[in-house]
Amino acid sequence: MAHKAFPRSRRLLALLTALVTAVSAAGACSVAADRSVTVLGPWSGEEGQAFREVLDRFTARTGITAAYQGTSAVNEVLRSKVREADPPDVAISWSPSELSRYVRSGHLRPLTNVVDRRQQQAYRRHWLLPQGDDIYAIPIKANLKNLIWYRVDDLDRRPGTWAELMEVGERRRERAPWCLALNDSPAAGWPGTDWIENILLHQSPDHYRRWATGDLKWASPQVTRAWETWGQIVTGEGLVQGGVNRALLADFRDAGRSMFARPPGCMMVHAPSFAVDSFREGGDPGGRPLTPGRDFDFFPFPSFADSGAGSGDRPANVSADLAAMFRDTPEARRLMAFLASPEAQRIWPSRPHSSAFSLNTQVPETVYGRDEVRRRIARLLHASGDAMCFDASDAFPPTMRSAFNQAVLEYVNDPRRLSKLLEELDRVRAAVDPQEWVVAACADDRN
Amino acid sequence: MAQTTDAAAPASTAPPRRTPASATLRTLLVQRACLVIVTLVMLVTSLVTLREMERGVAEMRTRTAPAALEIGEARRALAAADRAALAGFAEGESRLTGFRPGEEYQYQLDIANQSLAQAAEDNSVGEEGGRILQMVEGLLVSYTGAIGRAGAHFQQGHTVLAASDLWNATRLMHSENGILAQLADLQAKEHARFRAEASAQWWTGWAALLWAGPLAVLLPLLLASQVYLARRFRRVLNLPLVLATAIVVIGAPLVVVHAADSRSELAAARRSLVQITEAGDAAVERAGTRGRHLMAGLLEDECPDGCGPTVDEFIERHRQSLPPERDQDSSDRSIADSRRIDAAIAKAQLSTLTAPGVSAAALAVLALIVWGFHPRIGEYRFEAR
Repeated sequence: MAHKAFPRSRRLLALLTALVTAVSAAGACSVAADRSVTVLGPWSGEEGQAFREVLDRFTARTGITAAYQGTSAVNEVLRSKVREADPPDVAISWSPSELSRYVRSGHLRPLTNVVDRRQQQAYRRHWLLPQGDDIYAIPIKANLKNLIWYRVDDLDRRPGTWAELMEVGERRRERAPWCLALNDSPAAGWPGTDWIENILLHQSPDHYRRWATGDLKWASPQVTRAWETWGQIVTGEGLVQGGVNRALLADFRDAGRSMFARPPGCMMVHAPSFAVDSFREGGDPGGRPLTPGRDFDFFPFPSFADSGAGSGDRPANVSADLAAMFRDTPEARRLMAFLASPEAQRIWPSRPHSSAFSLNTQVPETVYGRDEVRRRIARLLHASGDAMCFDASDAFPPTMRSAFNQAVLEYVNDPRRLSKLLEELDRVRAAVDPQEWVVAACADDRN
Repeated sequence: MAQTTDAAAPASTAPPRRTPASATLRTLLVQRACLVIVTLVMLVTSLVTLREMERGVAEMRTRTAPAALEIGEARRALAAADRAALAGFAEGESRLTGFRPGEEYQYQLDIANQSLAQAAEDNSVGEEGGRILQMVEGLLVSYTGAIGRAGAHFQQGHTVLAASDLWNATRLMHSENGILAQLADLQAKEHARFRAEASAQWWTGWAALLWAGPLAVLLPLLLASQVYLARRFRRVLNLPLVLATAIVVIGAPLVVVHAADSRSELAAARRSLVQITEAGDAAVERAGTRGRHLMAGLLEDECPDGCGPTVDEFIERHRQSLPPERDQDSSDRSIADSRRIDAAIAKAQLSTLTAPGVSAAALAVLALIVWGFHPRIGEYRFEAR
């Protein structure tokens, strides 16, 4: 027994060496396999699932795993993580102003050399959050907000101008023409801010640009006029279904549902492009699913050209979810490059019944299937005009955004207070740190 | 009787001729070495397992259970605050309080804020817990802002705006992804963590293997050594090895019984935690039902012709008359609950003597092994010269 001890020691030593080698190799393998990237974004539920599909394709292409965390309070969580010096590798926010703040503080990494030049050219430069010579974001999906939806069998001709729109309303005054619902917790009022943004954008794109970047007073004649123009609808007797109380308390998701009631409660609703999905899913009162183009359709926000205002261009008011890189790692670079590619950009819009749109001009219309309504929206998003702008509320600093939302509610409740409300908004504007405003809100802004 | 000091004559203990003396010496040395090594391994693994067990119980006592209780308390206080605010505005009390939501609202809100701050410190579910608490913090800012605006709007006579503010506040608090739902989700995660920690104790998985493995080797080795020595040296028993075996045979079950007691105390603590949470859920539901009933009344006043399906369905569902309110929940109960759970988990903690006791026993076993082999090995060393 003992005389075999020495050889056994050797065997033991050999075994130990083999074990150590195996463990080291496994360790090395696990280090190699541990290529991952963390992503923080605003989507959970169905939307979160859609974005995971994009990330899954990225993993399949690169072998890099993406750990996604979705929260509706993405800006708050991001702020907290940055404060704790623990930002995710990549974060996605719907607020250009929020991301601009991180550009200025040096937390965001430029993407100029991360995303291929050819890929960059597939986007209007303005959507890429440019600052100086660098770009800092890639839009993941977009919504077009200057649309008016209607029930197909309730409108014989689409109004092209504001005057025509008002005329339609007047003709149908006996049965309230407008659906309006401003409530949406926690940001009640935003459906009204969209109205005012679109009116100003269509009346005077130049003033919209200045206003969205904090360079134009709320009490200026142009902004005041935009509010008053909206007032023609919200203060007009019988123009809004259910009057002021219903407008202030009804949930914005319910706004368009009345169009399909029998008899219809209203005939038009101003809503973003994602409404196509909620109308389809909501169905009519009998539960029958609605078909875009056959049951409901949209027309772009009318122009003010005939009233001497506006350039006659077709402006676009767009909200976009923007991905930005907080940590410059090889994995994060690969992900940003992938997210910018047409391959990634077409995944979400091509899902069945998706209401997502891409701002990448290389994404073909075919991804929207045979849905002509969605194809037309995509064409509007890729129009060549200069007045392609971020939604001003999204671009505003958070304090300004909240005050704007609140002012809309106050105005609907009592339009006589307009001048006071605008003064108060100007006080908020004056109190905001000038650094918090975005540098560029529209396509042709210099940056 | 066993030979212990072994001043016995070499003739009587001389190895049989057919076995070389050096081979027997090697066998003795190997046996002793094996026993010493296995005992040392047992000592280390026992201490590691005990330390992990202590750490787990301490984590439950100082973090997981307090976090679950604090979150429950925050939920209860927030639901009570919401009900108090709505009652103040709906029942006209706010006119007497300068259109502020009232003292009860503020009091409950303060309790909730303290509980949430404590829950953030105790958070034992990592990043996910932190993210939920950050989200709740953001939602609470919106909620208190909406309640504050409601007061201002009531004061200005803008009742529909005030109702809109309260409607927003109610949805922030009670909706599917609202404050209370987020906190319930976090509380469920803390409970799951507690359950996992309690069931991961002692006899499960690697911990059991780590502890029982060396023991399962040591006992047969001790017996085999005893048999070998008895046969080889014609001694009935080797007393030091008998004592070492006795320590192992008696000590191991003692530790097992002690650990089983601890586990059963943890199970009791968990049952208490579940009971307290269920009572808290019921309090949240009572306050929520009352609050939603008041909100439905306010909406009904402002929407005589309906305000869309969402509002109309809410009014329809919550306008029914309610049973009279039961006792108010007080924070005193929460303190008592905390003490109850703390005491239950404290019982699950191992005695402070356990680790030193196990160490002492293992060292004694070591000493007895060395002592048991010493005379035999000495004889052969002497003979080898």
